[in-house]
Amino acid sequence: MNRTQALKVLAVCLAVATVVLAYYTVQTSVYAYSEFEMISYWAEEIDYSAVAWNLTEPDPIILEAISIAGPAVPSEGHPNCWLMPFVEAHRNETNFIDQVHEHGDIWEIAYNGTYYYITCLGSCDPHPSPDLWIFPEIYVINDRREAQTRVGAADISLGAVWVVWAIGWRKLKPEP
Amino acid sequence: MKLSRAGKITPLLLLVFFAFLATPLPVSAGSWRVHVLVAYDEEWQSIANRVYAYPPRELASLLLYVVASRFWTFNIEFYPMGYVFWDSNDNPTGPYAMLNEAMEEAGFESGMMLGGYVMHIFVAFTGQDIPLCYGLANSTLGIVLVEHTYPSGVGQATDNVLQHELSHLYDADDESESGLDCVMNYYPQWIGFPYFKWVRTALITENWCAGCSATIMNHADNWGYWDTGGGGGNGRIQFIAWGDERVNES
Repeated sequence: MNRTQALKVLAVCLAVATVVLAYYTVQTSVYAYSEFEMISYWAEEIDYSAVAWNLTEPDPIILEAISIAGPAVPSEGHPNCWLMPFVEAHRNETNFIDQVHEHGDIWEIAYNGTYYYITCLGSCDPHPSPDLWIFPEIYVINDRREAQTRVGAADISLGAVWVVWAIGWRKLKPEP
Repeated sequence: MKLSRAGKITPLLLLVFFAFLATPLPVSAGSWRVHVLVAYDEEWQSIANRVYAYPPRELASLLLYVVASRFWTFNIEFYPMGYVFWDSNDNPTGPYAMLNEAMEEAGFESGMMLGGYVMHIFVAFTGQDIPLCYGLANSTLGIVLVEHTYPSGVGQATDNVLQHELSHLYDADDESESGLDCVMNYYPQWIGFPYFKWVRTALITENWCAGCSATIMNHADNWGYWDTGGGGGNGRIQFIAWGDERVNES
């Protein structure tokens, strides 16, 4: 394979990567906290966290999640699936998510001398009126900021590779 | 007059043949017959053609049949009696707007006549993403909107969504309970390697729990009409021609 062919193959690979990354970029940037009507929390005990913040004013929903904190357990009858002890509430019943936002979107908390990692899911209201029923999709909220950061970094890296490729391709052409 | 041998045997054979027709059949259990008006949009058309290599109407029909067979246990039978094309808005403002749009474009109203048949419920299929949800149902109007659903790690789950929404038309409630194997249960589960994805329990099961089964059974008469099955129940001999089921409607 000569250099021209190698650059063509690389261009195809980069094009595919660009499309995939574009998909994830859109996925991570569409939804904001405020769009969700239902919030689910899962608290998992962790040994220690240097970045955890002290939960001093817990709302009843996050307290309930902490009270049943536990690990994921295998789902009976569904191989490769795991169940976690979630607590679900309407968005206006919990202000924990706003406290997280105030603490720089850090989902590791310390409460009564124990550290927890909180996983948070968002969805729309499954039953907005007596005769209307909605089957809500799940959106992971707790790692949205991290995902945006990762995808943003990947966007920049891919852009840099495209620039290198363009320089290489330009060098291939004979000077007029 | 002297009859030939064939002339003697033919009336005898005809007599035997008609005797079979006039015999009351033992199949007289009956069921709730529900006529369904089915709609599909341009995105559904595209997915049916490109992903499944099916005509859109056939894909809708196939899914409805698969789900309908799960309702047989409640003596409910769904019959797709008409298909309409629905040109969906590509930028829907929300799930309710999509549901209303589908209903208005199809001009559906439960009890409407189409092709000489009463339409009881309306099922709209869409190939585009319904904002924030997989599907929705209005249990008063008898309408259901279902999105083509294919989550990684789960595969095709449109039938689960349809089953879930149709169950709402029979007053089955949503459930959110860890480990409950029910198509009405939307408790989240995590799919491990190599998918790493959250899914609703309802997307990975086609079973109903005992509570939901009882609710659907108790409300099986919400839609449609009782069809004796044409088997001559109560000892009466019935000759039912094609299409004459209409006369049974109350």
